[in-house]
Amino acid sequence: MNLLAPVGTKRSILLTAPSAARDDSTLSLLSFMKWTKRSVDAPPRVAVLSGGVMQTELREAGARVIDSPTSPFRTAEKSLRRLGYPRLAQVSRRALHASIFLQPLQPRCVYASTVHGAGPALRHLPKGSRLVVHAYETGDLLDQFVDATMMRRLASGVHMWVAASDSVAEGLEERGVDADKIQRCSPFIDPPSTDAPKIRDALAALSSLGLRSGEVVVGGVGHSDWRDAPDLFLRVAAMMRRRYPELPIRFVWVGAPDDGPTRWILEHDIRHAGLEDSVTLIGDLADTEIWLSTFDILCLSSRVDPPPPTGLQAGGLGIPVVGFAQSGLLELEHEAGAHHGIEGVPYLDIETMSERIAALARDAEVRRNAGDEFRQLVFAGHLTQDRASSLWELLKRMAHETTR
Amino acid sequence: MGDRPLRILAVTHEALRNGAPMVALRVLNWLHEERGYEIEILSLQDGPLMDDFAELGPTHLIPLFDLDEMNLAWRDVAEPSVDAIRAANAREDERIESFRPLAEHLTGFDVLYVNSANSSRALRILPEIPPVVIAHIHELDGGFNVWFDAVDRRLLLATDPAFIVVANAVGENLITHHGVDPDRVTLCRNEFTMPTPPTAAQVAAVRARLGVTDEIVIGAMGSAEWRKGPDLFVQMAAVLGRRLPDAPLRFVWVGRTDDYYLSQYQTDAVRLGLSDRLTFVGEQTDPVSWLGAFDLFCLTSREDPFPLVCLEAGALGVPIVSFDNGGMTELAAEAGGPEPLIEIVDYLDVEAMANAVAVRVQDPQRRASEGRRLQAHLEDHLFAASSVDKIADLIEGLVAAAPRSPRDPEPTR
Repeated sequence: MNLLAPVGTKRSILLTAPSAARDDSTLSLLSFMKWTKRSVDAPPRVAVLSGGVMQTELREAGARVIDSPTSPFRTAEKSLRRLGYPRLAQVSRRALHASIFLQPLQPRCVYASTVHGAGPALRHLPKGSRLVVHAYETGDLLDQFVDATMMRRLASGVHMWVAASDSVAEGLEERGVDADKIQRCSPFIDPPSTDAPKIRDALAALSSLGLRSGEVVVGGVGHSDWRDAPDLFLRVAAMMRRRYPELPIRFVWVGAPDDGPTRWILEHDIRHAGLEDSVTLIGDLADTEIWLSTFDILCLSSRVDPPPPTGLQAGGLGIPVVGFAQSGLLELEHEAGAHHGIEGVPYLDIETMSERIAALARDAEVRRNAGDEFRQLVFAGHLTQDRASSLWELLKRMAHETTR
Repeated sequence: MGDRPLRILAVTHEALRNGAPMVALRVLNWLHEERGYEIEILSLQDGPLMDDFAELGPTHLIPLFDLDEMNLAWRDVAEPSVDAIRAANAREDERIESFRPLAEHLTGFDVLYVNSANSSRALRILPEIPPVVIAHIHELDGGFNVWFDAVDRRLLLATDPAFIVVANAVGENLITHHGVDPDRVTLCRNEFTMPTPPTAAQVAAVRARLGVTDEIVIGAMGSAEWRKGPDLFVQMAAVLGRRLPDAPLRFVWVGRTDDYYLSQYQTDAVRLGLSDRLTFVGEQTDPVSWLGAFDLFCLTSREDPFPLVCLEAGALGVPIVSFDNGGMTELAAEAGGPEPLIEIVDYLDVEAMANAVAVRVQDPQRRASEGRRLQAHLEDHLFAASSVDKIADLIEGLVAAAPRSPRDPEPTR
């Protein structure tokens, strides 16, 4: 019989993530991992279930990325699928996930970095261990991406939830999670590093892609999907070109795929809206902070976001943000109070979003002041050093509570 | 061949009540009734039109074009990569190959009529290629150059088909990007028959089903997917709601929906406060009754070569507002003079579309006069011209000039 690892040892807490894709949860996990390495005696083990653009960074920080696209496991699974054994491939994948937990000393507390990726942790949770799930998904995202049966199982099986925002917590409660089991913890970021040569390279790359001297860079960052909504970013670009043709603006979207149908869809909108001279698509999501550094304004076009780390990163760099006033951004905006630098506009109101961006684009001083105020807000309470310790304390407490 | 009737194998990629299959049904029905052609139909996807096709002749279903399976494959990959697409294609090739025995009996035809780009997937399994191939192409840039499988495109072009195109832009794409000989391209818009107007009772039944009495119904119709712009329809409804907060408006989308994408449109609608005013009613068996219940039709498509649904709406006197997205721009300019037949707004300019709709919501006389003008133009210039005659003449000319024997199909890879 396997034993639970002694409390306070490296193996007593296991952090898991569904993939190394660049998203809110992975960014926060990476910051948290770095913090634990700096700040605790026995940093936890970390297992990432599949690869992605952040796998190198995660590995460098100590994570085990067990199923990158080139791993033998993935190759075997692909072969099984190709040979016509999809169920066997699924069994193989589950066995791979189980291998994380089948250790001589099993974790007392398992942390899953998202709700939609918490299934394997729940399925393979060692007897007596505690499961903590960090929720970044608002209610409608849970409905879209988490099967209702799995959500019910999670609601009853998870021992503690960490909600990235009040709206996320509300969504969990509406789906059967006991309010007493939910702790709030906003996303946090590491202080931005200013890598001047890399930023120069990024600016040079933008220049080669059409950025002209004196142009204000309005940027967007994210996956090319409904949630991060590059389609809405392009709607803003199209409207601003029509309504404010006098403003010298370059729109840059970071996160577009390099090829394939999704790229074509974005290029179709760009071509047919006459935006070829105004919009630049960048494929690189791995070095987001560098690209963010080239922005003058962040246009946060996401339909759904808890307090978004990308927004916080922009704030850390002194870049003002305009986004839709829903879920997390609204909470940040309220927190900002009299501060400026975060502007929420009504959901999908492209006209108002364009107006706000135009006001910032027109006046460099307004932009600078707004960015400075946002930076102060981020530095006053959204850095890893301020938030990570409470998350760590929770995981330690849960590890102590084990029943075996 | 002698005096025997021409034998046509008609392939449709689907049997849904969408533009291309509806056009195929009308064309084939006319060729059968008026010219006595023997028709055999192969559908690559099941759907409610299968029974209608079966009335024309033997009808076979070989599900080569499985949209649900393709959608599922796409959803598995957040960012579709070239590798992911290749892997999915390889699986799809194997699946298609397994259907080859079902097509073995499809021989001895004079003409192969392929009713859309995607219908040419049948070329992978047909045992022989008839002497004459007609490709009726409804697809523009995205539909022909991007979403159309490269293997299917190569197989189609290798048959050196005569192309029937539904808009000039479709023909230009074939000539410019695929080296098609302009002499092989014939323009035949989807102007086949005037739809029978719905009765007042049918319209009343639709409005009752929607629960509307005096509300103005702004409608759209088509498969609710990216190309048709249902997301933009929802956004337009929201802008219009801001422009005319007190106007009694109902927004209706008629057409096939997919649960995954529908949940996204509905999420937007709920967040925009439209859930009680905007409805996706799914595919309907009597779309003309629904069109008859619309006070205004919005074509929010990002790309649409020459949508049949607009002709039907126009034929019923329903005015149209459209993005600059393809064939409707061609039609709008046809009347000449300062007033276009259809109000065209810039691509993606949802706010301009909402403004155009707002003007018409507030001015019923304008709606009525624009609808009558469009209706009269279609009656005089489009429905009067018999496209099917043109197609039949084309077929008979090609058959007369073609060798008698069928050709071997090209290898798939």
